[in-house]
Amino acid sequence: MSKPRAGVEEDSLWQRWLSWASAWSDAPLPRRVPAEAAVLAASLALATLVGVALDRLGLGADAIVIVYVLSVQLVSLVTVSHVTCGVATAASVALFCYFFTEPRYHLVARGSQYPGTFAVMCVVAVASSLIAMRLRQNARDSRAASHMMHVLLQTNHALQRCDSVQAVVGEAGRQLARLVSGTVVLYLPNAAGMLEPGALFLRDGSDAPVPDAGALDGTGVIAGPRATRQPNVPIEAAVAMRAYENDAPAGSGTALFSSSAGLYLPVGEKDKPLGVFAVLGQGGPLSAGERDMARAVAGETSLALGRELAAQRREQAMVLAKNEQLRANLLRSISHDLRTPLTSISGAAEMLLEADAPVPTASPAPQPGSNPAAPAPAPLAPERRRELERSIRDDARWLNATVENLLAITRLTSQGVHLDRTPELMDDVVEEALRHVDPKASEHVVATEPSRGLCLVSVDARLMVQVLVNLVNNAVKYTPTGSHITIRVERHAAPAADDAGEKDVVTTSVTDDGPGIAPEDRGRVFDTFYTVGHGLADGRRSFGLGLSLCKSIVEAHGGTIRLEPNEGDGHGCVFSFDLPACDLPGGDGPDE
Amino acid sequence: MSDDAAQAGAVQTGAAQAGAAPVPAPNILVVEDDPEVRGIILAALDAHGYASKVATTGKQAIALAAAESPDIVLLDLGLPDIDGVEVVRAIRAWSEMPIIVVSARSEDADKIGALDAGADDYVCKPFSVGELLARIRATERHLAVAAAAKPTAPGAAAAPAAQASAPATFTDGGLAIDYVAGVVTLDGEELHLTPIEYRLLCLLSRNVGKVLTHGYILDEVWGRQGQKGDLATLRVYMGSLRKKIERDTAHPRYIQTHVGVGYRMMSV
Repeated sequence: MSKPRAGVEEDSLWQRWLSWASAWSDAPLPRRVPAEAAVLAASLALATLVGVALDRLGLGADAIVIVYVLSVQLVSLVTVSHVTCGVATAASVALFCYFFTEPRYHLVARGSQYPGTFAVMCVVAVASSLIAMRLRQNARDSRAASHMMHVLLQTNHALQRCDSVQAVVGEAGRQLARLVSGTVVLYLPNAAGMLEPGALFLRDGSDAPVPDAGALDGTGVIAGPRATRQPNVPIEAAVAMRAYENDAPAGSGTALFSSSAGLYLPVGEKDKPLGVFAVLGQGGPLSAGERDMARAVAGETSLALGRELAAQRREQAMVLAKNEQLRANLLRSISHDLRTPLTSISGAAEMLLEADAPVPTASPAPQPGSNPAAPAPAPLAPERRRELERSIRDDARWLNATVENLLAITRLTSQGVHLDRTPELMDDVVEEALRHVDPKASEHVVATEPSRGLCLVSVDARLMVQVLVNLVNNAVKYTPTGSHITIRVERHAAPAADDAGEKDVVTTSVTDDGPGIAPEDRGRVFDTFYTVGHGLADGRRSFGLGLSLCKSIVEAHGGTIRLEPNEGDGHGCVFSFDLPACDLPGGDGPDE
Repeated sequence: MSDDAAQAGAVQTGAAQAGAAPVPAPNILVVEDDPEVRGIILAALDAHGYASKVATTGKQAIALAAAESPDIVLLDLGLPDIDGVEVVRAIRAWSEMPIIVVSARSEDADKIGALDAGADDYVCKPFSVGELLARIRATERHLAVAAAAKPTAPGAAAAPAAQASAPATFTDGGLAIDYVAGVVTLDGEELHLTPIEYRLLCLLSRNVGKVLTHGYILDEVWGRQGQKGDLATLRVYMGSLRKKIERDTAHPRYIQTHVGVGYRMMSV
């Protein structure tokens, strides 16, 4: 029995007494017999002493009888068994007879009134001891009920603090183990739908790891952890399975498998249990009270799980709705991004075709001003023609860049977190990316600095190339012709803020010396569909897709991306991203 | 692509194979089923003085490759009848003629499959005409180098790294390898390479102009030693080799990286 906490319910002497007495009632028999005998002897001796004193004072035998009856009642308040009460009644009659009836100090009473006195004494002593025992039983019941309420309340509070299904189940397991002072095994369904032990909760409120399934097969028990001197835990997967399938308790104290060692309680939503708690008492089956309490806790757990699962479903629905919204925005933005260059391409091509079309000879020579709807196309000036041709080529390239980004988005969303990672030198990624940047980059001075350190990263190479392509294209797009764009790669120890081990990072940066980005815009450049100077991109072509994609890709690789002003040149900006560095297996790198 | 374009030299016609009459311009077999793309390729080839034959299916391509023995094959991987990789395999069964694979970028695995089957180079769709022509010129240069290195007729050896008929030396711009002495010099200076770096360099130089896939290099360099190499190790050794032989690592001349595919040694 767990000790009640001070100040929670024990506030009066009477209640404290009741709790002590009821706790005493639960003590094991071998400990109880000598103690009850001692209580019996002490109270009878006390009654006899008081009787002797009263006798000296000259009071009659009636007063002494009442004293003995009182002592019997006292004994029955303290002791548990009816036998003790019977013995106390008989002994008090015998003592009274021995000490206080004539002839004194003989177990004989001479006098016609004594048989009646003895009979009344017996009846009154038995009756009052029965009342006392009933009183104590009530106290004990009410104490058990209040303890159960207390435990349930505590469990409820603990479960409400949990914010995940795992936390709820773990807390419930610990509570159950503490409650029955035993061991609790949580059975969870495996991939094949069969139950196997998933977690172990010990009576001292700690969790223990469950040994491998392989180790379970031979013995059928989990060996108790040596340090905690826990008894071995029997594994009764069949019982757990039955409880799981029926979504009803099974095991000891139920109709199903009543001979098994533990009580098996399914938890989870109705008809969809998540798992089964096996509650095993310490050194024997659970008492009825413990079973009731375990069931109540399991019920409480199921309620908490239901709440948690419902909350999860709501959250999923919200994420889904948000994704739908994002997808709709993305589609709107993409179709805009695709249509603009397509319009320009088809327009330019039409103009070229029209200019080259043979002049229809069948139609009469147009009178000046008579048919303004169909004027003869003016021949295109050569420079105008070249301009149109160049715009077709540029727009096609731009379309291709957009399609590459769309492909990257598809890869990212269809693979989720499972990237096609291979170890790559960041230098190689940079080299590959520079082969795919906008041809307009040749109007800029693009330089790559030699890398510092072993810049090996585990990345999805094509996505990472896309990040660099987008960053360089972005720099090309937003800086005037002739600006300097520098790419640096270096490996260094992770910033101190991240103290999760000494892990190196590889930082790649793209620096330009263009006009730079205003501080108020810096935080938003990675937002989807945001182009600087235009708010949400709707008026002109956006590469907003590109930068937000960079952020998504880098973050999917567990890295971070940021934008800083270019301090070195005083103007321009630095886009840089960190990726966790890799090491060679075995560290057998070439000698440098 | 700009690297190749930058090296665009005069069109060479030195791809004469021993035994065959010298041809004025290389004969190119174009295997492409899409009429628009085919039209652009043919127009570009015509404009630059190449003779070309056309196949629109894989089977036709194999038949034409056998009948016409073109100097270069431009092979689209997405063919209506059979897999482009099968075409590469069929041609490699009897001929070492250079094959340039044309693939959409979503066909990475096919691309690697085609290279492993024996294709020499690849171009990704959408490609610019300039890029395609640069690849063809580069292939011609490799043909010339190979013809110079092997005055005898190329045998029926199908293995790309056949070492039986390998020449004793290799020269590529300032880079020279003496396979017999095991000495590598760059612009006259001797380079100190580790054994693995040397093996990598030899492998690349014997397949100059060809894109070698990661898997192939790992098998050749590590697998022959009975060791198991991995991609990270290959990357690092290749990185250190390139640091030794490239004067300007940002603009490599000799060894090109093809991320996700492999490496290639260029003939400068």
